[in-house]
Formats: sequence, structure tokens, C-alpha cells
Amino acid sequence: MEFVNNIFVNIADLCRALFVWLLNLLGLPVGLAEVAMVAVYWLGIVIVCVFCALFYVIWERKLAGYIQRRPGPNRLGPNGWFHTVGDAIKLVMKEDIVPDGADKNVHLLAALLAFVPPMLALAAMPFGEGMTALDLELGVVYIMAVTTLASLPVLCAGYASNNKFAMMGAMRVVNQAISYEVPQALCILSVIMVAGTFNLNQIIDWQTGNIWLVCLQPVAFVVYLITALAECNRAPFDLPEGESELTAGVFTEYSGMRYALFYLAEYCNMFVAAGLATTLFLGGFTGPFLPGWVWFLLKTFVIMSFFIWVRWSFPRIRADHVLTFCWKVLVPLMLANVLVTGVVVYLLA
Amino acid sequence: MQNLNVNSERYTLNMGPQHPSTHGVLRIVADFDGETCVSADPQIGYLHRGMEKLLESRTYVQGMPYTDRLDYLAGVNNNLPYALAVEKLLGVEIPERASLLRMLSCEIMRLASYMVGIGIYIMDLGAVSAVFYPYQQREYALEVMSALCGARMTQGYIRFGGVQADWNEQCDAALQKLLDEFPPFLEMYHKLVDENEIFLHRTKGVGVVTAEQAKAYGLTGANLRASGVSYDLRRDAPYCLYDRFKFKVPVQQAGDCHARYVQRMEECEVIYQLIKDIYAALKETEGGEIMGKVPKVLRVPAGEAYAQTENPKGIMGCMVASDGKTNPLRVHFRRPSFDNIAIYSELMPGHKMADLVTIIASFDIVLGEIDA
Amino acid sequence: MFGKGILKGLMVTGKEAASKRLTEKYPEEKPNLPDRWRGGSFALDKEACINCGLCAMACPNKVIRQKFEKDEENKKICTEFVMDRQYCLYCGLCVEACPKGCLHFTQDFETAVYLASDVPQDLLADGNMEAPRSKYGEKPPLPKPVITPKPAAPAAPAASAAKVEEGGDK
Repeated sequence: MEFVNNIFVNIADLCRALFVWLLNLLGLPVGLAEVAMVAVYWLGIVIVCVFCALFYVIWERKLAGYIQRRPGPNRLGPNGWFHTVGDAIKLVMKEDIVPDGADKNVHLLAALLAFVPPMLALAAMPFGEGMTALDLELGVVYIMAVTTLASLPVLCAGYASNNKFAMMGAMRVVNQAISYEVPQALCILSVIMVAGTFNLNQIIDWQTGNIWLVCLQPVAFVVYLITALAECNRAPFDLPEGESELTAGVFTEYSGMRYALFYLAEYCNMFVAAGLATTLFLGGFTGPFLPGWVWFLLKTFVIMSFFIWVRWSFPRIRADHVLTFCWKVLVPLMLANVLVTGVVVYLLA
Repeated sequence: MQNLNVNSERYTLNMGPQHPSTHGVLRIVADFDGETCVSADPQIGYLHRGMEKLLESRTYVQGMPYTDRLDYLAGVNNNLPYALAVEKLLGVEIPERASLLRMLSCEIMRLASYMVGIGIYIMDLGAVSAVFYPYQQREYALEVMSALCGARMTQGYIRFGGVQADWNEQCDAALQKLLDEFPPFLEMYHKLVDENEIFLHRTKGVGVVTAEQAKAYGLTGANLRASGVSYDLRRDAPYCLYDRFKFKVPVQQAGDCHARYVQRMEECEVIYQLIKDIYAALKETEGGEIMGKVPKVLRVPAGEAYAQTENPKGIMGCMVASDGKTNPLRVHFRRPSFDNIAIYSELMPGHKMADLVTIIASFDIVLGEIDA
Repeated sequence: MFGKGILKGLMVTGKEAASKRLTEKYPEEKPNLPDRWRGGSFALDKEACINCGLCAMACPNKVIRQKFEKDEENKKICTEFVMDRQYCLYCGLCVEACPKGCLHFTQDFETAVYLASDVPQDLLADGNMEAPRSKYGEKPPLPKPVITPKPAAPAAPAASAAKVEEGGDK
């Protein structure tokens, strides 16, 4: 099990050794190996991100089907599990229609930039023991800062589309994203106060040494899940892409590969949120018997399934109710939580 | 604080004929100030098929399949007022078993139509999964109709003088399945939706219609009863054999979208009980006639007649004017959804954009009826 | 507790997700069509057809194209009998109007074709009688009248009273 646990770390070490040998052969400074390793880490993160997104596309459709008493996609592949391949091929083959009056550069740029924030966030995510690409001392703060950027490409998309529905969706995205940052920050603050550190790996170590933080901070866990849904524009907060009202909302004028990019970016965002929830509340990559990265994937799978379950169960929340819920319910609740946590930590320290 | 002179523009949003939530091809041209609607103008006619004119160039019996296509969610219910109006002119007597079969098929399709009403309502609010559960019940109801007359959607089952075919064991089995599966579904649906805080916040206080407004605009059906006016044609002006059956007529007082939802759910229970009662009465007329004495070549005596029935969407009426020939002179339908949507332009201003969809969906309209 | 309704809703959908799927997996499972199904194609019993043309007159949409001619023995024969299914409402008025009961619906529902010229169904060329037939429009046989023999009386009236018609048209 130790071998499987460290398999990716070993592969990375192998790559580094290979680069060092190559650089020695070519007579270049050995420090460049680290630069090359950055590319390898980046490639690894992209592969993980894309494969997870592809898996979750079909899992969402299957779970939605099960909730609706039907089998979901069941033709392509064994019982339908390779359906995403067909989806991807279909979206690639479609024509990228850009409307006449749209801002062409921003239209394209928004689609391309949609993938950037989740990638940046995943760079600091601990996937397993020693498997953090960027082990930052301020890991949590970095991830919070980067996930804020996730709403910008959506805003650009809505604005560049020259379409009233898209514009409405874009305005709603901004509303939602900046409002729900506040309770999310307070959730994470509660966790940091208990664990005493900003470093993600050290938070996981604290949880291994004591108890999973979900038991000490249940309210923060629930509120974190709610704010994660709001940040990712998922139902019941999916007003920006309010299917029943605004047809496709922000993404009305996107088709083909550009839509595929947004679609995958949404799943990557959810994956980041689930990963952060796992790390902060559910003990990260620790667990008995199985290798660390398998535990990480299992825990994020559970949280993602919860997100999907919630999406397919509830009606949408109206735009003004989204804001009243955030500012009048979640923020006071989290402030109280922070106060209580602070007092308890002070008394027990 | 001083009133800031913020220059915000009003913009026109066109919830065009192609829209996932307009229940068909309804176009609503609405002016918005931010998220709040300032004026709304529903525009219809995208599904106009010239049905009333079409019926003038067909014989009476040939016109029957066309009436199915008015409220296509409950085909039999539209045959009935047309048949009743012509039978008034003919003066023919309907056998008891035929009347009971008419009532039973109309109530079953009423249940099926209500399933669409509440399912699509929840779907328009965003809970896409919740539409599958009522649709499964609709499947059971459609299976009964399919066993009875061969068609699931546009039945054409009611003929002048009676009905087209008799009840048989396949219909028995299918109806028993519906009667068994419906109560657990209703309980499950109540648990899923009734106390859902999101649903309550979306629908309470939205689209309030007072009783006076409802009467002034000519709202009928569940929309009227949800505003506090207790008027059900089956009890107050009974046709067929409805005066033989006792059934409750629920009424809500609030008149908002939530009240219309609660009204439809309570009426589902009433319909279920009514189906059981009519079925029991049907069993007692075993071997009865299903068709009265109507000549093969139908020449309706000259005159004018109007018949009203309680359809799932409201009160449907049919006026038939005849001049003694084989084709009617003029047929006109009083379509309930057409009168129901007249209230939109008064109701929508002041609400948010999301509420527009809630209001449209809560009135349970069908465009086939509006445009005829 | 705030949020109770939402949790109840989650429990309901969770339970539904764990329940058996209700989908009929077509084309592996064919639907069980009822006896009176108004199917997608027609069947004509050419021997029983008396060329009365009542079906074409009953149709609301002029779906039935018929041509009759007089042959050598001055009998009416049918030279064309096509159902223009692209206009058909599947209302069944034609099947009900047939006095001999020789026009039927079939239990067929997979009637999609590749060419538009295949949609009208030529019933003279192929009566389609092998297809499983639907029972739509079949009237139940009239009950046999009960014969009560008259008591001993003159032979002639008793004989004529015993000559009764059996059954209806079919």
C-alpha cells in the first residue's frame, strides 16, 4: 500500500531525476529541472481536472436520471458510462456561432479564461501525501482569492454577447458571487481559528491528530456547502443560467467548443469547491487502508454527489431572495459562529 | 438622504414565442426596470389553426376529432361541450351508461391534465426532477384511455348520442393500476414540495388575485376557486349525471400562486374520489346501451345551442348554430385559458422577472386552447 | 427548524433515486399495446370490401383516395385505394364507418420511413392483413334473439316464426 500511496510522488521524482540527468548531459544548470517540474505538475493537474470533469458530466446525468426514476444515458459504452466522449465529440463538431453585434475578442477570451481560476486553485490543493504542487504557507487564502476570479469570465461572457438575457445573467452572477464570498470567508475563518494555521497540509495534519473538523464546526460545514453552490452558480442558485427564465442565461450565445469550455469549467469549479471542503472539513487525503489520493477522490465524489443531488431536487431561488438569504441569514449566522469559536478556542488554549 | 438622481433605463425583454417556460407559443413583451417588471403585454396567435372556421366545412361527426386538439392535454373534455350542444339541438336522450362513461373518461383526463399542471409548474420554478413524478401518474391515466378508445392523447371518444366504445377488462386492469398508484404518489409529492422553503418563498404573495378581480376578468376553474369564489359547474349547473354524485369543492382564500398550487393538489384528491364513485356506479350499469338513437347521416335541426362544461383549465363552452344542413353554420368555443390570460397585463407589473414565469405557470394555460 | 422542508425534499428525491427505474427500455422491451390501439398503418380485407366508399366520406381530412370503375359486367370495382397517412388524424372514423368491417388499424407503431413517397399506404397493392390487427371499431355481436316456439298452431305460421335472422352485419 505504501507503494501505491506514493506512486505519483515516485513518478515525479523519476521525472526530476530524468531532467537532472538530461541537463547534466547537455551541460545546463541543474536548477532548470525545477522549472521543468512545474510544467510536469501543471500537466498532471490539467489531466486530473479534465478527467474528473469528464467523469462528473456522466455521473451527474446518471444521478439525475436515477432521481427521476429513469436510467440516464445508457447507450454509449457499457450502460452508458462513455457518454461524455460522445458529448465532447458533439460539442467539438458544432459550429462556434458568434452573434453579429458581439464583442468578438471578449467573447472568445471569456470562454478561454473560464478554465484558469480552477486550475490555479487546484495548484495548491493537497491531492495526497506530498502531492501538493504548490505547498503555500497561505494556501487557504490563496485558494479563496483565486476562486473569486471564477465569476469574472462569466461576467465578460454575458456582457460581450450583445443579448439582454445574457446581460441579465451576468449581472446576477456578479451579485451572487460577491455576496456569497463573505459567508464563505467566515466559514473558512472558523476552520482556521480552530486549526491555527493557513497551510492546507497542516490543517490536514491537525485533523489527523485530533478529529475531523466537520464534527467541531458543523454549522460552518453546512454554510460552506451552501456558499459553494452559490459560487459555482449551481441550483438552487443557478439564476445566471436560469434555464426556465432566461433560456440559457449567460451562455445563450455560446455554442460548440466555447460552450464546452464553460461547461467543463463549471465542473472544475465544483471540483475545487468539493476539494476544499474535503481538505478543510473531512480530513483531506487521510483514511485507513486505501492510498491517500484514493481517499481524496472518494471524499470529493461524495460531496459532488451531494451537490448534484441538491441541484436536481429544488426549485430556483429568486434573485432578491438570494441576496436577502446571504446578508440576513448566512452572515449573521457565521458571525455568531466565529464569535463562539473564538471564545471557545481562547478558553481552551 | 436625498433622492439620488440615478438614470436607470427601462428595457424591453421579449419572452418570445420560443421559450422553455411559456407553456406553448406565448409571447410576452415586458418592460423591465432592473429586475422589476413595469409593464407586460401577452401576445397570442402563434398557434392559431382556424379551428372554428374549419368546423364549418366539415360535418358534425367529422368535426369531433378537431375539438380534441383544443386543450390537447385532456382531449375528451373538449368533445363534451360540442356533443352536449349538438344533442341539445337534436333533442336526443343519452343512455345512463353512456353518460357515466363520458363522466369517467372526463375525470380521468382531468386528473391527467392536473398532473401536467402541477408538474410543469414546479419545473418552471427550477425543480426539474419533480416533473417526472406527476408524469408517471399521467402515464397510468393515459393507459386507461388507450385501453378504452385506442388513443392516448386526442381521444375523440365522445360521439353524439353516447360514446364510441364500451368499457372492458383491459380498462378495468388499467384503471385499477391508476387507483393503486395515485395515493402514494400524492403523499410523496406533498412531502417533496409542500414545506419546501424555497418553493414557499417563490410562490407566496406572488400574483395575488382578489375575488372581485377574478370575477371581473372572468377567471374560471381552479384559478377562480383559489381566489375565494366557490363556483364549480359540476355542482352549481350540473351536466351529464353530476348531480348524482356528492363531491367536495375546495376553496382557497389567498389568491396567490401558492394558493393556486394548493387548490390543484386538493382538487386532485376530489377527482380521485369522484373517479372511484363514478366507476362504482358504472359497474352497476353492466350491459347498458352506450349509444342513443342518432341517425347515420346527421342533419341537425336549425337553431342555436350553447353548452358549458367544467374543463380542467376552467369553464369550456361551445355554441353551435345550425341551419338544418349536414355542416354546422357556426361553431364557437368559449376557451377557459383565453379568458384566464387576460389578467396577465394587470398582474405582472411590480413583480420580478422570475415571478413572471411563476405567474404564467400557476394559471395552468395551454396554448392550443388560447389560439384555437 | 428552518430548512426542515428542504431536508424532507432531499429525503424524497434520495428515496426515489434508490427505487427501481420506471423506464420501458425500448427497443429491447416493446410496449404492450392495448387491444384497441389506433395504430400507424391500416389493413384492408380486399375480398370483403364492397366498394361503397363510406370510409372516404367519413374521413375529416380527405385521407382516403379512392377510384371506382365499372368493369365488363357493370360491377363496381376499385382501381385505387390509398391512405394518405401524412394527413391522417388517426381518429378512426373510417374504421367505424365501414359497414363490412374490412378496414382495420394495426398494432403497429414503428411506422417511420425514409422516403416521403413511402408514407401513403397503397391498400390495393398490399392489404397488410398479416400485420397484427387492432380491435378498434369492432362492434360487439348483437345478442341472439331468444326463440320461444309458439304452442301447437297451424304449421305455416310456426315455420315462418322460426325463421329468424342470426346476428348482425358481421
